[in-house]
Amino acid sequence: MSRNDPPAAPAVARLLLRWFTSPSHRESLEGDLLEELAAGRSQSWYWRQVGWAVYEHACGVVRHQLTTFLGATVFFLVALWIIAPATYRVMDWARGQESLRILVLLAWLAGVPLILGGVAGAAERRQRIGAILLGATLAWLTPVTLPFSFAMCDLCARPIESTTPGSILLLTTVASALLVGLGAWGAGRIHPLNQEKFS
Amino acid sequence: MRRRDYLGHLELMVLLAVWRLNPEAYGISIAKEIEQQCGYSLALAGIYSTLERLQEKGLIRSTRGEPTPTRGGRARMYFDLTPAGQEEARSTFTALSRLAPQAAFS
Repeated sequence: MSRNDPPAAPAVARLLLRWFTSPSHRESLEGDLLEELAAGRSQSWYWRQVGWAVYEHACGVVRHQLTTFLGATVFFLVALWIIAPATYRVMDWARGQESLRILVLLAWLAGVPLILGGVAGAAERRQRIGAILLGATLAWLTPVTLPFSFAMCDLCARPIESTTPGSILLLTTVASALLVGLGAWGAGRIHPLNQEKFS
Repeated sequence: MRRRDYLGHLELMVLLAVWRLNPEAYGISIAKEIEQQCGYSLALAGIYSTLERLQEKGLIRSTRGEPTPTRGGRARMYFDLTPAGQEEARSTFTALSRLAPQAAFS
């Protein structure tokens, strides 16, 4: 490698930097880190800097998108109230068909963070993928999410037991999709940073 | 009473470092200047998010340098104080100096 070649930065760290930094200073930060690597800094120093960059970005997103996150969470909980009985009914209906039950359970567990992340991502104009991943991570890390989901399943299943699972599934899927869409639109509409996107 | 957006400790340090380094103030040089003069080792991301806030407040402006091979073809972003930034740094610094008890700092 000649003196002018760009130094090799850890590939995963580079990806994290690309996904989780503000676009306004991403290029400068990436360049600065490479410049310091070329000047003799270690790879562990690079990783530490990337860790701080991800932390700074997460704080910035929450600070700037507080309304978005609160709006998304409220609408997510409302959507969950509708999704939960459907999931419970489908699980009950699929009793005896283990592969289908596992499929439904996986869809449910993946759906929880993805809905929250998707709403955050839809409202975040510049960093869609980063926001979706961040939303998904936050949802997984939120200790109340999983117990709350199962508690909702138990609570919500009783009032609708007389209805057929297929129609409930269709109805609740459409309703929850509308609610999540409305949540993303409403949260983005309220926040001044996102007004440009929705105007 | 109108709410004023006061400078934070880190913002003031970065603002003064940018002023001091002019016209060579960019991420690394600002971080090194603060480390040399104040003894604080700051993450580059922290410096950039502070610079972003200062730019949103209209206290600094940025210009893009030339891309270089050692930076993987990425350009440096140079920062400079606006007249409003110079005024803000002066007034904050003066206010702090006036508040400091003379006996403790002589």
